[in-house]
Amino acid sequence: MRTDFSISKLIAMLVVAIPCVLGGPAWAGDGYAVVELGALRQGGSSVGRHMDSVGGQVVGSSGLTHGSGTRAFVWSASSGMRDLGTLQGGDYSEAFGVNDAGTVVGDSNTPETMRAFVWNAREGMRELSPLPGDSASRAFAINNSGQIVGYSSGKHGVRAVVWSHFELGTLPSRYR
Amino acid sequence: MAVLSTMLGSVCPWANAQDPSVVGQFSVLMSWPGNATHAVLLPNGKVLWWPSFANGGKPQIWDPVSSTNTAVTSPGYNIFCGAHSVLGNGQVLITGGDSALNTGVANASLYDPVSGSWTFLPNMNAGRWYPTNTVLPNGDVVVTSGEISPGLGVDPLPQVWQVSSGTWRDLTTAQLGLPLYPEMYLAPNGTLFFAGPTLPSRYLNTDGRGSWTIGPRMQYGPRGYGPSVMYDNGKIMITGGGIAPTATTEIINLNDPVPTWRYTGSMANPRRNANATLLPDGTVLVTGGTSGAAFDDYTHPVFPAELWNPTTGAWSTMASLSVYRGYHSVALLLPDGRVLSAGGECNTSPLCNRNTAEIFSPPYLFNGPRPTITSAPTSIGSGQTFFVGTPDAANITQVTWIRLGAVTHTFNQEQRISFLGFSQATGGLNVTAPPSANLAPPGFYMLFLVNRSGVPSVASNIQVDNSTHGHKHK
Repeated sequence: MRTDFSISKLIAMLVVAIPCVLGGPAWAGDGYAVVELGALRQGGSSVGRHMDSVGGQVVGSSGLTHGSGTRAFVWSASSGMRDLGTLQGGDYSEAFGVNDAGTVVGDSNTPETMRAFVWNAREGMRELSPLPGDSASRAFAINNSGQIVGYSSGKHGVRAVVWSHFELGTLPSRYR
Repeated sequence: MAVLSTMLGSVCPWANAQDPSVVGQFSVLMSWPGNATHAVLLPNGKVLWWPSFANGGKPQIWDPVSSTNTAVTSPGYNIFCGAHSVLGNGQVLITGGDSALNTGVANASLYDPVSGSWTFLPNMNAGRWYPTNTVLPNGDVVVTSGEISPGLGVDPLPQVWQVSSGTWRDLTTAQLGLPLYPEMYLAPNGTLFFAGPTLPSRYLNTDGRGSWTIGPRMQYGPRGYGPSVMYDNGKIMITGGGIAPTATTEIINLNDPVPTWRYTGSMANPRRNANATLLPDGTVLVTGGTSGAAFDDYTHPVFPAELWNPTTGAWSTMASLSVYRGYHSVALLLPDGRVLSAGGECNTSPLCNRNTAEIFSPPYLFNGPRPTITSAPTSIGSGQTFFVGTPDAANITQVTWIRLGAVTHTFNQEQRISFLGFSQATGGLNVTAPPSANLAPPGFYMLFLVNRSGVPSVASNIQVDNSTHGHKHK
């Protein structure tokens, strides 16, 4: 356990502790402040999975305890936790990645399968189709160029894919 | 006695309060070496169970006859929060488990009740924490859902454990985000029916690489930790559940041309984290749970059991548990017609005592002599007519069998009942097994004879083995 102490750390503690009293971050005691992001539903649970590189937006999923009503969310300090909904007819969604433009990727149930989605504030949630002949897809990450990585699933099994400008192609061999 | 008590009770309501022929009776509290969070009835009539959290790798076997517990060899990893089913050969298939809170293990294992040994199977595609096992008509087992980890979320890939080849078949065209411990049933048409606790319901076709079809929606809404049972071939009841628990109950008949959920009678008590148990006479016993809005709210315990009559849709209030049994509690029908109620998580209040068990004796055990079974086959095939010896044949009005239960987290993944056709024969009854493996997949069933007073026999254990006796699927 670290026991060293300094004026600078005391100041840092006060910086964190004062807003904590006001409902802001709490001092975790290990050099980190911890902030609860909340949940979409009262009494529900939430999981944060990814944050953009400038620290403004966090994505994940939130639902009732133990898997009911799970929805993808995007969180920011200014807007709080926003429910991204589902693809049409879906009852489940989860987000895995966000880029610095605030574009979110994840997956959502549809009535009869699971599909990758890409979401932004202007256009909402759009489906990312799987490879031709496949039935399901999931997306896990998006870079600042808008390329999305995930997988397509069908009768031939599960295959890694990259969506570039929403045109699907299998990963180049160097990525397999 | 029951009629007299009912008449007396209508004049003096308090007279029924403790009459076991009306409300049944709970045994004295038994101290157990852990909180039973998972419980599986073995073909030998004993109960394999294991506790929660760090003790999930320490299974025990409880013998209902001697009422003693014996430690079982550890599987070598934590099987808490896994799924379980009894295979056609009597071995227990356990899938998934707990490596950390909300983080599953990919392990699958077989427990052999005869040798007491464990066999490791090939791993599943990913960790599964809170999955469900469902036995198929050919004896294979489908594993659905289960959380990989908080970061990776729920495993959307159903997998089929193929008994004959010892391999997994991935249903890669049936990926879907399901709730944890989905309440899955083998339907009469051979598909799997996802009944809840969320909506909509769905059908899973496990042929080839699999596919989902959307189904009807429950009337009430999500019923988190509301138990369900298949109370007749293709007929499912789901009761209670929800964040603010409900007392409402819904039923669906999958045999209808367009199955729809509809309400039946409501329980007297709203509750979640309860258990529902099929009884030999076709009624359904609900035990435990909380009526409070908090997750495992021991400050609002529901002590009285309730009994649902599927013929009338009405509930009757039964005797009361002596401690709160909510989250992580189990209930399991025993071969002698009693119901084990055990475990729970709460141990922070005088209302709780999780390292205990008690046995419920339903009213039928106080309503006269029990019919007896003097002989029955040990193994049959689907659709086979077989002889059951009994000196009470003329007085038998119902013959039922119930698949050995495997219960955890509100849902019994194995129990199912069939009402068997029968006719009088010299010295007993000729009984006919369900015609299709869709209605009785390979495995072990407790055969009960029920007399005109509603009193069941002690069960005879019968194995459905279509590999030996012929194979009838759909």
